[in-house]
Amino acid sequence: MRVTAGEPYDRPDQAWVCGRTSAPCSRGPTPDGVCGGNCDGAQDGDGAMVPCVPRLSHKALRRRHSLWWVVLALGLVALFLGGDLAVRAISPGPLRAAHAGLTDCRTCHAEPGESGFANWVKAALADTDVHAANGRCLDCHVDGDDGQAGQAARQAAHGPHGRPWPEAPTSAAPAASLRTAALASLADAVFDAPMNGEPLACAACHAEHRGSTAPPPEVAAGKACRLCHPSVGSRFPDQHPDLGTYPFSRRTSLIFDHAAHLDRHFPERKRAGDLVPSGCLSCHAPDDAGRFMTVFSYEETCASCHAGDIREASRSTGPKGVDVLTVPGLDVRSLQEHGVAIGGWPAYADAAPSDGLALLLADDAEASNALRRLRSVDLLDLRDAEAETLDAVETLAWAVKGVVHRLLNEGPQAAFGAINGNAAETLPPDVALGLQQAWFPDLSAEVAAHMAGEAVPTREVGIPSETPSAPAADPGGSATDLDAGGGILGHGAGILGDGDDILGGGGDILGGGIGDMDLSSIPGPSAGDATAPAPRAVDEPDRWGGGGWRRAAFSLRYRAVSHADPLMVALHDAAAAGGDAALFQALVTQAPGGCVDCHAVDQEEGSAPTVAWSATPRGVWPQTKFHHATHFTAAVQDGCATCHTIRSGDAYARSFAGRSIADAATGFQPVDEETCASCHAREEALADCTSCHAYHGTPLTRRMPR
Amino acid sequence: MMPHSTLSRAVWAVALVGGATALIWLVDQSAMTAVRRPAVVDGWALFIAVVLAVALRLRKAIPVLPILDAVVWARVHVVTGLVTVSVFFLHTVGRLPTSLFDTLLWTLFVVVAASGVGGWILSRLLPPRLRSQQGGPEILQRIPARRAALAAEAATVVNEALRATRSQTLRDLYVDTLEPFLRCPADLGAHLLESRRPVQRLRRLVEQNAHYLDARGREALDALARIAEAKIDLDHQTALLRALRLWTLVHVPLTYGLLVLVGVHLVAVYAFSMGGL
Repeated sequence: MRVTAGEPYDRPDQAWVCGRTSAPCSRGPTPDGVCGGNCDGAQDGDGAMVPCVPRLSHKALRRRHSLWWVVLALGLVALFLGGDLAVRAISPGPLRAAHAGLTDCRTCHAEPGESGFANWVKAALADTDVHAANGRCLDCHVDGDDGQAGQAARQAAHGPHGRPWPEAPTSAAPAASLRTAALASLADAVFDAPMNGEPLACAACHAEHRGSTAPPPEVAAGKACRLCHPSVGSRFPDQHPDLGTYPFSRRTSLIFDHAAHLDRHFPERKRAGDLVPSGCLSCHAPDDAGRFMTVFSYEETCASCHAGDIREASRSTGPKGVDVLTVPGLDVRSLQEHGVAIGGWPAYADAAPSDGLALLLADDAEASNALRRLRSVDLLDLRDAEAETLDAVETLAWAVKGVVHRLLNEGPQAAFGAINGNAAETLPPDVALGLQQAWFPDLSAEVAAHMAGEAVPTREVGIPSETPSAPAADPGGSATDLDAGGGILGHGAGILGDGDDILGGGGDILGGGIGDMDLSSIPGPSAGDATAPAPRAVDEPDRWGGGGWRRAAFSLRYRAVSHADPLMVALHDAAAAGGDAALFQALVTQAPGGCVDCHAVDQEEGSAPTVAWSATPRGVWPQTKFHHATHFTAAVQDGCATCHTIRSGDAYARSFAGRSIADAATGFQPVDEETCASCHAREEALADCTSCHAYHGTPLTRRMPR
Repeated sequence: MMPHSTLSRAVWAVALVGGATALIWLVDQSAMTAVRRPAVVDGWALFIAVVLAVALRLRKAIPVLPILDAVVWARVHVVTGLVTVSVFFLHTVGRLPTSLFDTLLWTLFVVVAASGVGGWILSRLLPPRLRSQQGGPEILQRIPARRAALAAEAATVVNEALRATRSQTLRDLYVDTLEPFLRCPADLGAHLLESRRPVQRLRRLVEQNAHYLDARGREALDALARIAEAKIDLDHQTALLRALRLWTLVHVPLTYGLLVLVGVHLVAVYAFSMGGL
């Protein structure tokens, strides 16, 4: 580089330099860009003065350009973003046609609003409220429930498949290749766990402003799905995971062994001349949406063969009906000797406390404890009973009287609240009155005295020599006239006139001692006839064939009126919810009609059992959307059996030995991928995950924006 | 043939740019397995690369900073600049912008990147040509004075010759052609293209006029030809030096404008994301 000392002008760092191209002056302009004056060489070749033109140095010029560009950029920002042009300026593109009516940006972008850059900065710096953002989408995209529960459910649907985020989503997805495994490892190292349990924003998958006809690209191309399922490719079935047990994720709600029915029962009935199903569609039909196959009602299907089971007509042994309320037999004389005051008690009652009684007393902690204590005690021999046992007997006795007292004074709903009193409303008043008169003729007076703290002397009721006190204060006293006219013996012709039921029907007399008896239709003991002997056991299947309430000797029994009998359902549900496994087991075993013979009893570990009353699918495979009706039109040679192959053997029946729904042995083989591929082999359409899968368990419907 | 050190630097630059781009692409891919948007990853990578590239200006603006040599910063600037270009393609996925603002941002980035790449190419091509000048490169700010000195020297030569010969040819040649030529830069475009036309024109001029001059006049003409050749040399350097600076008048100012729009872009993206990021 040529640098010569004493050069006339060389100050490049200054903002201004001499602009003369021919002969720059040696002094140059001032820092402010003013000519220094007295320049040498200020004349041109003709002796004319060359004008002094200070100009910006390159550095200063660059600085000035930079300033101008910054000002220009800020000006553009102020111009576009400060006014209505902001929307058009930053909008990446038109909305989809379905959203074309959304002209107010704040409909979706509430925080930044339409204008005001300060609002934008504020919104950008704030943590995004995903719930609120999703809520604005869900204002229009509803699933049929506009209430708070619906809102909550829809928000929950925006986690991964509506479930909480797994702790390690990337490792949870099996890597199909070394590449995906490496990427998953890198993601684990670089990124935190996604969302920290927050729901996934709708906008994470549903990109907008991509044009009026553009499909959501992430969803359509399966990109969004592969965020969490990196191993799934776009080719079916080659790059699709094995279908596993699909379409069965759990055992069925109804215990119906297709193999046994098709191979054994139906042929037998057909030979007998009965009408049997001719095919799958005799019992199944697609639902209104055409998606799920539903089961016809009980009356349309099972009833033709199993109606007798419900009504217990086909039950040849054991008592019919279930004991809802039982007066347990007590050693009344010993109680008298021990000075235990329980008032009047039927001398001939000899049954043990029933499971139904335990259910009725479930809400009474003291009575329930007493009952549990007395489970192992012979209540008909209390001569040597300890004081605690006698206390428990006294508690139990008054609890039983309390139930009957509430039944008479407040109705079945109050008395049977523990088992859903609504279902017990069918109890006829005369039955209630009859049992009170027969069991506890002085009930009201005794309960009143007991409540007042008085000791009501124990005495036997129903002993012929005894003279009962008049139930003057009994509210049902006037109604005893309904039963006036004498006892069973006085109407023996009526009983005997019903044929051979005593000896042949139900076997209660011979087999169960005191059996069932319809006392609602025959006069019971009146107030003045309390000395009449206790009614004898009579079973009247013909007269009780319709089911309902019946008072037996010392129990109130109930038989199912029909399938899905509300009280039977309530009894099962109450027993299940009570948490007493032994009680539940005892009830479902003796329950008439054998509800649990067909309805599975499900029980997850650590939770109460439930009876699967409904046959409809219960949230299984919510992320699939196989459409049965559409596939009916396909040319499938074997009909339903094309996909559903019956599994022989007893695995299905054995899976109901336990209560875990995880014991998912089903009556059919899982669907094979190749079955789908036989029609959909490598179709490009199936490359789209959403052809068969629905991210949202419940499809969101749309409504016009408000 | 490329010198070994230059080749080594080029290999390093390609490796660094390729490596950084590949790393960002990998993180992009892994982001999808962690439910992250790749555009967020490469967007922030692009932003950081731009800021790092701009840091060169800060290093130059604050020369007292003891943070590496400016030459190192210049190389870092080049590498990060090239990284921004490749990451920009990752970020935009090759799509053209659709909104007015994005179009402005996209255009500005492309112009800045293109001017940067162009400037980098010029900075690789022109300095060797400057160094090949006889006597080495001149400082741009000193060229006017040097040119004025040549003009003064030519005036002296002509005056002395005219006093001796009173040649009208020499006088016309100086007044009509040489004096205006020596006063201002000329043929800058031709010099940028390494054209030999200015030199050939000068030689043709000398040859055409030499026939009309006597010995004293030809002696003066030879002196004027040497001065004119020196002026042509200065014009050549002026052209190259100005080219080395002029691109920065596009690249640097637009970069600041770009930074402003990048800031707005960031704000808009986060403000309107609805949690989709």
